Amino acid sequence: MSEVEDRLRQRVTELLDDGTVDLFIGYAEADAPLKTAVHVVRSTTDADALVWDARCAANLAALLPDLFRRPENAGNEWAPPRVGILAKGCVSRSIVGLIKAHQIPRDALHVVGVGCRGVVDRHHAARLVAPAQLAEAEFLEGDRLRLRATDGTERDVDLADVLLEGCLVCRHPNAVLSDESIGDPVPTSDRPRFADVESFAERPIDERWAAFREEVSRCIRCYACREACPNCYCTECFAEETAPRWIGVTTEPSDLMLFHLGRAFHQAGRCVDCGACVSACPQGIDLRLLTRKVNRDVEALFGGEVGVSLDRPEPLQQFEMTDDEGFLTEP
Amino acid sequence: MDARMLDKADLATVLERLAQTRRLIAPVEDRTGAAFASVDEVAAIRLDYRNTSLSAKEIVFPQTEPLLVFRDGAAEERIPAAPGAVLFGVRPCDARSLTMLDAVFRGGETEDPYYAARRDELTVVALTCNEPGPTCFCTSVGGSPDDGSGADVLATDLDDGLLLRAITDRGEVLLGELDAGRPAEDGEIEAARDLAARAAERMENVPVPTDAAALLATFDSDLWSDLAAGCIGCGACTYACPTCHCFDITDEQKRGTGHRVRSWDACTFPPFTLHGSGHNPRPTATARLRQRVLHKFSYCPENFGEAFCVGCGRCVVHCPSGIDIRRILARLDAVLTANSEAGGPTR
Repeated sequence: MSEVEDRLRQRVTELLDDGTVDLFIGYAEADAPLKTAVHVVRSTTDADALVWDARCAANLAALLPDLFRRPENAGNEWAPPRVGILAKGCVSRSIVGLIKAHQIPRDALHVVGVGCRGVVDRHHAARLVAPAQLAEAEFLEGDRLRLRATDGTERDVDLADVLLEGCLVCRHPNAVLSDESIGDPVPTSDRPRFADVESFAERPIDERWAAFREEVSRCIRCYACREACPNCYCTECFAEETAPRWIGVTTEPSDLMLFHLGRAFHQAGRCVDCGACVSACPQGIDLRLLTRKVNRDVEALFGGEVGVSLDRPEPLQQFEMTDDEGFLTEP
Repeated sequence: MDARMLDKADLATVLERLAQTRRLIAPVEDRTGAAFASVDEVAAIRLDYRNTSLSAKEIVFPQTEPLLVFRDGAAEERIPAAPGAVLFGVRPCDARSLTMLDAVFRGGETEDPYYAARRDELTVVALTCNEPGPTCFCTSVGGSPDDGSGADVLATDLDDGLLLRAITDRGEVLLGELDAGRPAEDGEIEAARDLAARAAERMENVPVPTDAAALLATFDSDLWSDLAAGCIGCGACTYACPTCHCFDITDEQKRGTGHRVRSWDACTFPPFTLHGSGHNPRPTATARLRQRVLHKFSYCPENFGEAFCVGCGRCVVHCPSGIDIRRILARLDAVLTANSEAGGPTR
């Protein structure tokens, strides 16, 4: 158990005991390689199960909107809970986004910030041992990871080689919004932020179209990407609406491509590139292929990063007379 | 029944010959590790896999399946033609799941013709397990590493060769067609059984409650909201599961022609039970997770005589929130045991 974990468990116990929070959302051990479970602590005895390491892939902010939604049969006595949450950088940015979108109240939250060194991409690890399965993963000294496969083979890799791609270029490893922090701040990456978008854009258009079509062809419409995302809090998703019928529910190529295009565009001005969607997808689809481009375009067109400050409107929450309107087409 | 021993060096040739007369579906390497695919290049087949990321149910129950097309008042059924495919190298858990899907799609008064067309003439060669996978628990739910349910031939990797044992008439026919290898020796069959037994010994034992009525009696218990605390309402568990079979039927439109299509659905999705009135009898993740677990472990045993879980553990691998059916079952078993000892109803 690390110092940070020890401190976290201690603080959560205190926060529950002194009534600052009614519940605390964090991560716990899961009995499968490279996985952690989302852990909702309501009593101090459950605080000892909290963990924090490079397996913590879920964006915990995704659980927040529902906690603050008044239940159907709630009487006048219902009050929103006071919720504590462990927030690495991207999670805290999602929290900022949700507050600014009026989905969660700032004053009912107690955010415990923690610096993040990145999350392991479980699909990347799976591909390293394929077609065998990952049996065990062990963190080693020197930021290394030992992967044991079901075929008996073992390989040691540098963590940096198996992190989620978004983590490699992360500019906000530490919480941008918090009521307190544990652990030391983590330095930001200095890798070029949109090299992937730029290199993809250099490919001929029909190659890009084919690559996109191929990438989403494996989608099974399980919506794990959508549900894992804090931004997808709509009570009815465009993908399932019947009146009007925007797209079909099938895995026909047109439905798949439209679902993913719709998803990407709905993220505009909101995606914090946490990679929770990539981790959640059972098919290992590169769900950041389109959102990376949308993120870059929003920054280039409208300036400012998403979810970094409660004081400024989000890029698409405001309109300036000087905003670029180059995307408008002639009627 | 016929048992043959096939030299591994000859396997490719044998499968190539088979692929000429039959549609061959086998595990190949893919972005997720391994997946089943219709194979043209036998060299792509990988029998050195543990299990696939998703189950094999797509072969008989595709994610999207056209049922009929309609235009200008005329409709035409789209029952698939499915010329005798061979599902080669599926794990016994997935083979067993086919018998459960059979009970759903063919067991009642009406047989599902779409399912039947794909299922009929399907020969299943199950590759028995010499090792349990990281999330496997088939032995806790009535299966085993060399269970033959749903299979026509059992194949076992015996290092130097592949042992093929026919266990149904259809399996005998396939072995006859393959006309490969030599008759297996008793020692080889014994060795195969030993490997499966050792794999079973090394597998995790999950306490699984089997009293359907007692499980149902937990319906109003607080423990369900505890168990469902992290559930985000996606369908990853359902879609990866070999025995989940819920579907939706929608009418889609393509260039002026209507297509009635069946596609997978999941009781874990919030709109699964959403009524036209706007009321949803399962409005919370708690209600939906409870439904999923009780369906598999209480209602299906009542309706079909067995729990609809083959212990493959794919739901454990894929749940984005780390919800673990093995832990849920153990917790339920503990609660039921405590209650029966106390002699009282569930709290």
